[in-house]
Amino acid sequence: MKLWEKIFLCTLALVIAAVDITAFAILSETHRSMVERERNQAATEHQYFSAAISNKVVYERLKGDKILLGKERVQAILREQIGARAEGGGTAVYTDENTLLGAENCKPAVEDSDFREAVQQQEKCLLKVEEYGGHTYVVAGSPLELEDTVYYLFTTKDISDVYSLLDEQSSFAQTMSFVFAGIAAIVLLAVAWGLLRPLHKANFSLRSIARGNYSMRLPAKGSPEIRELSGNINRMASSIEENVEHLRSAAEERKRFIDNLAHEMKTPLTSILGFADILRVKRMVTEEERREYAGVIVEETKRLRSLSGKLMELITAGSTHLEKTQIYPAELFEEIRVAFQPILEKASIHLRYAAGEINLYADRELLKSLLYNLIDNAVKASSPGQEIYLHCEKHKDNTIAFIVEDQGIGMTREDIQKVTEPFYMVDKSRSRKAGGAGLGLSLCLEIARCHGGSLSIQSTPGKGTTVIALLPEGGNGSDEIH
Amino acid sequence: MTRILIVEDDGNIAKMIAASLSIVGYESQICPDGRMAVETILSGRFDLILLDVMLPGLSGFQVLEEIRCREIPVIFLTAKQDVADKVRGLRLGAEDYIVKPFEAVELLARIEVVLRRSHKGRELLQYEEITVDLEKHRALKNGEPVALTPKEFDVLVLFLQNVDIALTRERLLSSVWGYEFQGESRTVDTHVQQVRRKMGLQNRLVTIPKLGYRLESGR
Repeated sequence: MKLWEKIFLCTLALVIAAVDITAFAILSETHRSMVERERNQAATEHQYFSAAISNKVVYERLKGDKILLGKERVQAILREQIGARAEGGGTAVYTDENTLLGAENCKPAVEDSDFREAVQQQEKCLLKVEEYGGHTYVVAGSPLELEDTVYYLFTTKDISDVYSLLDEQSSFAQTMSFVFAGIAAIVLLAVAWGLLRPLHKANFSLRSIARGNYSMRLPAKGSPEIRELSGNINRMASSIEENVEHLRSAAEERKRFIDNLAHEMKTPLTSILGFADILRVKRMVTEEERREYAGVIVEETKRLRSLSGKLMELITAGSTHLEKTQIYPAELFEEIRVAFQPILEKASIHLRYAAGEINLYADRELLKSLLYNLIDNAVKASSPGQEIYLHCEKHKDNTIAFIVEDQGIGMTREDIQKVTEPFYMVDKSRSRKAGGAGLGLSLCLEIARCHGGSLSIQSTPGKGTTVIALLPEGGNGSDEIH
Repeated sequence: MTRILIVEDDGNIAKMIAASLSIVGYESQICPDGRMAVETILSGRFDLILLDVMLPGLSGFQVLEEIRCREIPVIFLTAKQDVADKVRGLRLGAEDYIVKPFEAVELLARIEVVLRRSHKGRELLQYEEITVDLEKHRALKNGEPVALTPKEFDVLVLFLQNVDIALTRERLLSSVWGYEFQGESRTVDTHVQQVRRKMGLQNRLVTIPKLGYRLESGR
């Protein structure tokens, strides 16, 4: 059963019960007091009648100037009185010996011998409500002493009106209760619908969100509870949307990476497999051909080796825990110069460097790899006789900037935007000849990022490039950003 | 002489393809850029184009659209193993689609099929006293027809198309039988021996240890 049905039925049942109980209570109380009044009235009438008979007997005695009236005379008077009261209600008189002296319209009393006996035994006025032949009567009975003889006088009073009034009022109350229940049901339905409509809307929106429509939002309207619910649903939807978007872009980036990787691996493999196959199946291979084919195979294999090495570095940089130690750039720069010495001499490029009094906390191997790649790029972009300037400076916000400047060929604006994407090469044929895999700057960016830093590139075609790697000073080992 | 244009931006791959083509005597020209390729094709005369998909200038698909009017058969060479790409290439009218990396002999076999389909291939194969008519499906030795089973005929044709090239058993299996014949390279040996005996190629269709067979020219 739905919530609104439960609320509706419970409330409706409660309303009907409350109305009915109230009506019943009021009606029964009214009825009770009316019956009481009728009883009192019946008792008064009975006593009045009883007194009237006594007076009549006394009057007759005085008129006849007798000391006592004869029994026959008294009974005659009684019979006369019974007839006289016929309109006011029923009357019956019994003698002491329980014989009926006369009765008029008084069947309830005549037929109820128990009540008669009770009156005879208790010798006082008794009242009883009795139902007889579809009517309700108040039966009153009392002993009546006339001229030394005891009679028993019974009167009845028809109070059916009171009961039929109760029936009428009950059925009216019932009808009213039905009508009222109907009205209450309609009002309740309207109220429940009105109150639950925002819930239905929220439900509808949630279903839509569940189906993948993450941009769905609820209006912040209605009661505070509904507003809160809508707000929470909206917050949930936007967080899902954000996460899904994040996952989607991550998946796309990964797919692009794998596509590029597959391409970069298959290109050297194609040459290697092709030339190896020619060497294998061709009958006559001249010495010159053999040297050429084998040369290409070696060259392309080296390219694959460099690719796999860079790839491993990239994966490691993204996943390893940083081992931060105190580093003095002056030492680091000297190491790099020594490592690059043969290449620099061969290309007749001059490397100038300046470290200053700076130290920082960083992962030594990763930082070295970053600088190594930046210098390697600078060497590849430079022509003989040009100079590369490696230096670092401390900024006010406790970051250290490592700066590599060259005077080489430079890059266009579009190239700068794409150059940190894996496998992007500004000049494919030139990079490949130099053994590049297009992963160097991706690696540098990854290293800067895992230190909580950033990488920025400024370049002018034909004038040179400046790459700045900004790393936090990283003292106290507090900012271990991963 | 069959002229083939190689459109490939990687120098070593282009060189490798040219070397493969030269084994069977195809003449080739290399073009490393998409836009340049369109000009070369429209101004020159080629029997077949080997077209890389990822090219500087214009992509292989774009090149194909530009040169469709010349009705030159095109074989795509690509590193992408994407089915969608393959369908796109074939729908544009390419004759075949070769995924890198590939073996030299496989490339030659695919080229042979495409050339034959476009009636630019050799219909008559000549090897010394042996003549094979591909159209009539007939093998002649000194003008006399020789009875060969269909598979033996296919084996003979493959050798004649690849004179002086060693054919591995796997290559023979996939070209003649058309599927990977698990562990039954003995079938190949039997057929090669039959061809050798029936065509009288005892000293010329030689077995190369650990590799396969080779039909050697008299030079």
